[in-house]
Amino acid sequence: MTDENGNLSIDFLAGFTIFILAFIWVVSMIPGLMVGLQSYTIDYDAVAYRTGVILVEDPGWPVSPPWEYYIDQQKSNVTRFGLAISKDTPNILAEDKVNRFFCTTAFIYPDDYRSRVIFGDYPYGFNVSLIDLGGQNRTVGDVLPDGYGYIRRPVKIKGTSFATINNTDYITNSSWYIQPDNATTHVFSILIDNPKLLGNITDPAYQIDPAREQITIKITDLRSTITNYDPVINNTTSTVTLSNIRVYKQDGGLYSNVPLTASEYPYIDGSSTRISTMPYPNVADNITLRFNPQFFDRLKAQSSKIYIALGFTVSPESTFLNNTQALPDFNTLDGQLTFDNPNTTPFYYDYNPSNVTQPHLRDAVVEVAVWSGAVTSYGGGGTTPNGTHTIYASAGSGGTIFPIGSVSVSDGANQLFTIANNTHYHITDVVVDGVSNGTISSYTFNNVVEDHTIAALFAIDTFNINASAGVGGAITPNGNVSVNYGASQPFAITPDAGYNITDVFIDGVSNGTISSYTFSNVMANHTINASFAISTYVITPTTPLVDGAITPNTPQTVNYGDTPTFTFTPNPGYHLDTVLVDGNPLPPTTPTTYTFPAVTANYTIAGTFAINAYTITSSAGPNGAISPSGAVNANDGDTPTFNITPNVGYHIADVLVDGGSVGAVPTYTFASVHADHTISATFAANAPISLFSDDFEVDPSSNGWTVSGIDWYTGIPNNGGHSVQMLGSAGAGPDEYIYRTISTSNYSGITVSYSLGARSIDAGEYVAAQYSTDGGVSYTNLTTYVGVYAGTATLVTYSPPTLPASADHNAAFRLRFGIWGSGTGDYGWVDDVQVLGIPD
Amino acid sequence: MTNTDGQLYTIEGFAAALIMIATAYLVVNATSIYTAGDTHISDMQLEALGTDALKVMNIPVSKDEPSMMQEIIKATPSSGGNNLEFGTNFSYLINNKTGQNSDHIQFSATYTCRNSDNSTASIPLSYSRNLSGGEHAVRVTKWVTVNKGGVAFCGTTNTERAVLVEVLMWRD
Repeated sequence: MTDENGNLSIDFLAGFTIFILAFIWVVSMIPGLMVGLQSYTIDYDAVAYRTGVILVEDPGWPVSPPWEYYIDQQKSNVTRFGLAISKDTPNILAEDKVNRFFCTTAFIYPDDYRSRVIFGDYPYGFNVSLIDLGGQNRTVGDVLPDGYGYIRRPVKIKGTSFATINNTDYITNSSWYIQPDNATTHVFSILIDNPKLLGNITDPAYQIDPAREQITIKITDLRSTITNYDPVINNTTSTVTLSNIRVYKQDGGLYSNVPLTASEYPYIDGSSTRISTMPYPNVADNITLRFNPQFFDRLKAQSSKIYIALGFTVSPESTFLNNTQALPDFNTLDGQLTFDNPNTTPFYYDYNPSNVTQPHLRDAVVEVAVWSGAVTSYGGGGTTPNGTHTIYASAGSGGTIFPIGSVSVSDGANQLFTIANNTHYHITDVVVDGVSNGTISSYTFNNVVEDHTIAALFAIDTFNINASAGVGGAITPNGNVSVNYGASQPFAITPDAGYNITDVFIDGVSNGTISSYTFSNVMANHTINASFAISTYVITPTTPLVDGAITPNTPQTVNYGDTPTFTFTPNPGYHLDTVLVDGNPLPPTTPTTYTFPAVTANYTIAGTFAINAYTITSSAGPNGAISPSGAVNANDGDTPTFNITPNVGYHIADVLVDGGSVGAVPTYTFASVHADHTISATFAANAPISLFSDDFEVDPSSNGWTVSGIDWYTGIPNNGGHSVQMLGSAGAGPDEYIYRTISTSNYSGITVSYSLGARSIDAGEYVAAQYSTDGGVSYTNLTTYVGVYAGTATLVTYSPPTLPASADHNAAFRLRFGIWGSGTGDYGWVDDVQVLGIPD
Repeated sequence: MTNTDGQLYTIEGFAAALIMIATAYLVVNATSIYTAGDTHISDMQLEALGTDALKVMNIPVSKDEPSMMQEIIKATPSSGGNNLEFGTNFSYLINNKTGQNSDHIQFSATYTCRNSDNSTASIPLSYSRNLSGGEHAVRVTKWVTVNKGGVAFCGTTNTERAVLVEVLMWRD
């Protein structure tokens, strides 16, 4: 049996399937509808991580103008918190963003934060803290429960730039003090050159971008400068009023006035609201104007130069603030620049560090904790429709306020809040409707007729660690260091060059020579004191030394940087040759000492000695030699001998030792040399002596002469009674002659002398004196003499020049006298023959 | 003999199956946040912390100044050492908390450079504790460019060299 019931079931199945598919599609179209079906707990760390990324790496939204410059009433425009200065510079946070983020009176925990940085529909509880290592720690959110998701991100915080303009700037730079006339109205202009600011430096981390960050201008010494220029005036009678602020922009060559809106006026002298009502009277000696970026952001697309012209009115009139700045014509605004003094320039707000304190990065750490959101959604504090008012009470990290959250209070009723700090925390402030009430522990709103806020702020207890260092080093950080309860504080102990750590006392207890110490989990005040001592080194002399000694001869301990001196004493006859420092040879500092340069290590020192060496300068004059000669080296104690040899025919004239004569000695020996000496020898030629002489007073034929026909003559002429007479004859000469061999061996410089006479000598005839060096084979004339032809003959004495060298040292030397005549009537005589020679 | 009673059970079975499948789809498809360290949260936190600390140390505090990291590497002997400045600052950045207790993260840092002869050298830079081998450490790195001027560095002088700073981090 069959029926159609089964078809119905299939229809139902098909319809149900379509319904389920449609349901899934719709559900997936609605964001967040099914979010969190998974376990919440595993997401805490991930949500904390995501929140950390948004805070540290994102600049937030809106970007232009930045979200942090929206005033409290405009906070609904802020859709996402982000602290980074730009997308391109993760981990570098903007100080203004940080300040605004932690402004818990403007943004209310948890809703304002949850919707802008935590996100998601699940009501997470959270806490965001910032450890500002160069400023104040901040926190927003609840006290941490036992378990939570967590991330920590080290970051840099970019500080803002600011210019401090003192009277040196506006007087010596002739910016203001130009015109000598007194005036009551003065204008000073500051140039914000956007194209240059954004073009010269493009890295957002160091850029001054007025469209992104506040700029601050502080002008100092206003009234005191008036007083200084006119001593009659004093500060009590002088007044300075900021009468107006005008802004001009320059595009190309054209200038135009740009009126400021109320939301673009600056904050003056730390005011919490903008000062848009002018004049601003009773300026103290200084005035500080902080411009937020809205105005510059409005003009940034035009790449304009912007002049901020501050108009001052001073009383009494003064010269030091004259209207000297380059400004457009106030009245016509015709786009043309009118100069009161074209030589002046505005103050440049730029990258010159002498003008503007540049942005500076400092360390910080962002912490995010997220946990199960068992917190009440407090709402925005609006008035309930039942005639009640809402007081929103919040507590920062480290304490509680009771009651907490949105507290409904009947119109006209009172409401007490009690504030209690957690253990190890203390109350730092209680802010009621944005106004500080100090460190009170309770506060009562009386006769509540409107909504209020009360925020209790706490800070962790801090302890003081007093760090000090003795002479010779440093401890970092130094002085009184404030440390949070339970935190850690490291200290680094660094000795100066040449010093070492002798001890580190922690709370008065020695901890030895440690170079660092960390106070962990600080719960009390502490002290840390480091002491140092100068480093010492040992210089060890090597003993004993050969041929000398060293003083001191024991290891010496010296301080770092000392310059110790060691003295070397050589044995007699020795001197210090080389100093060995760690075995390396070095020259001595003085002949007998070595002084170390500033000592920075251990050393050994030794020395080597060398025997003294002297020079004996030996020299000889002409005609002789001395051996050895020249510069002769002699060691101490040596006994060198010098030989002096004269040349042939010479003899030693004298020997001088150190300038003193020691006689004509052929040798000289120095006794034990201990100094340099000189020795010199001079020579003299030997004196000629007579080798032979004959005055013929003895018959020459019996006296060694060989004679041929001569007479031993007693007639005239003669000297002493006899002479030799020679007669001529026909035929070749010599006709009659006499000769004798006289050995000149051992002699040189032979000279002869003789006397000749002649008579009746005709032409071509002569009487001659001759010598022979070859034993009579050949003769050489010494003298040819013709005498007198008639009358009485006389003897003439001849002394010819020294004979040639062939006559020297000649055993065959011979003298001959003869006559070359033509007949017996020719006469010749010879007498007084002498031969001289210089003995060898 | 047949009837339709069995069909009802069949339909219920199909319906139950569809509901279960739909439920599973919804659960699986629900929004969740995945991160690199999803299954090792503590490793992810250490990596993020170390990377941030190295990045912060390599950011100059003002224009025209070298970064602290560059100064540290310049001051560390080319043969290596335990640079106190690195140790103090890195430890401070990774362990500082607003809570009552500091964290207890230890580290060991080296830097690696390629010498002119293409050999590589790993130079000790700083450490808070020696590795014993049993730690569960994560590794973070940062490239740093350094010029040591006339001092020999990576086999050259007066040349800017890129070195890879590597830090192993672990919890006590």
